[in-house]
Amino acid sequence: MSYGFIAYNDNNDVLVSSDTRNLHFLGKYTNPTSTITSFDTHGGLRHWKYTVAASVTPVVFMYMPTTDYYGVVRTTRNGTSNFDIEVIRSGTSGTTPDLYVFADPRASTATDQYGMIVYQNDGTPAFDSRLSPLAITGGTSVTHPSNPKGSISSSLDCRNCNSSNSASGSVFAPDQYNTYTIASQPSKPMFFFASLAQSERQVFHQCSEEECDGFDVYGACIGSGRYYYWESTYWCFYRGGISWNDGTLRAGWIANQFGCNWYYRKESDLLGIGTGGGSGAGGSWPYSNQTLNLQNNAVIVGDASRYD
Amino acid sequence: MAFGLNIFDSGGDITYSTTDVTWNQVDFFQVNGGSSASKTYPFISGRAVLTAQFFIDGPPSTRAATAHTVSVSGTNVTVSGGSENAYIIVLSR
Repeated sequence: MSYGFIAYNDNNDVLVSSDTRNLHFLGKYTNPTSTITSFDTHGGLRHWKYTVAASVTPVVFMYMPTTDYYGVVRTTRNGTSNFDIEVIRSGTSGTTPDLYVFADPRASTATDQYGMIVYQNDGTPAFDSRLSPLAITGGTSVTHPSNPKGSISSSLDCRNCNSSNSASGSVFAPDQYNTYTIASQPSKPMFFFASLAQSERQVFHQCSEEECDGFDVYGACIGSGRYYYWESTYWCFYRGGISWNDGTLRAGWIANQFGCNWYYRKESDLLGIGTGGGSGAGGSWPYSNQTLNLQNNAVIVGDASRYD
Repeated sequence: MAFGLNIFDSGGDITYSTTDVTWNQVDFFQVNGGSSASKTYPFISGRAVLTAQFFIDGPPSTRAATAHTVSVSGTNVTVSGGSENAYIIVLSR
């Protein structure tokens, strides 16, 4: 650089520079604005929206108070001075994560008259010590396992998606994760993690049945009979999450949506001659049996207590 | 401290110092689904760089929602291949 300011830390990494912008603390949000959806089967889901005050795109860290999986799934502008942050969590408890929101110093105005400001060459602030600049304590890159379930063993009902959500949930509850160790973290860590990975798994069941009103001769119906055929495809859609348990970070899955699609056909005959029938279909389809976006996802860790 | 930088608040407490570690924001921009972007940042030459992306719209369950591929080569950052609108953040230190 020919002019400006740069400070390196003890690791010889850039700490403050007039060519970049440090992230500064904007606020802490302990309560969601609303609950978007929730369910208790399939490992559980809580999906919340937090509306945060920010004029520039915020960077959100989560304090995760339970060992469930968490992820930020959506960051979108809401008007000129707010952003909506959507967070999902596995499990069934009502405990909500705290969000620690950071942004570059243009998003805040300090009232204190004491401190240090570094400006960029356009006169906008790059760093302002009065605005609680972000300090981190660690980080890693995580990849989610390609399959949310180690194996799927299903005895769900083939007929008209008749199995309960609870029965389906037992089949699809995610149990796979990758483990990472991040040593020497604070007692109240906060995590930056944007959820990108997604997966869908499904199980297909089919069955049939014959009814004969006449005589069954070596498997053939002599008289009037009916043939029934059913298909049911149960499915679950997952998104990637992270969990933290005393120094161990896991990259696992959160069930985000589930459903079932069914098909039914009936054929009637008399002495082997078709006399009519019918069919029906219903339910919802997800996209195909696929896992996406498994590329390395950044996780950054900081000390939440520094901003309480 | 024998050398380095301490920044104090009005109460005399250190708010930031050269013992701290951080990632600095080099850029934050939006790339829509089906679009691409290529940017050059001379500042990141020889420095550690971290990129991340956020979905602007929650990914749907009815179709594949592919994230962008973000690559860093020298001072260039390229973003492409995603089907969804996303914010891209480029961090350096």
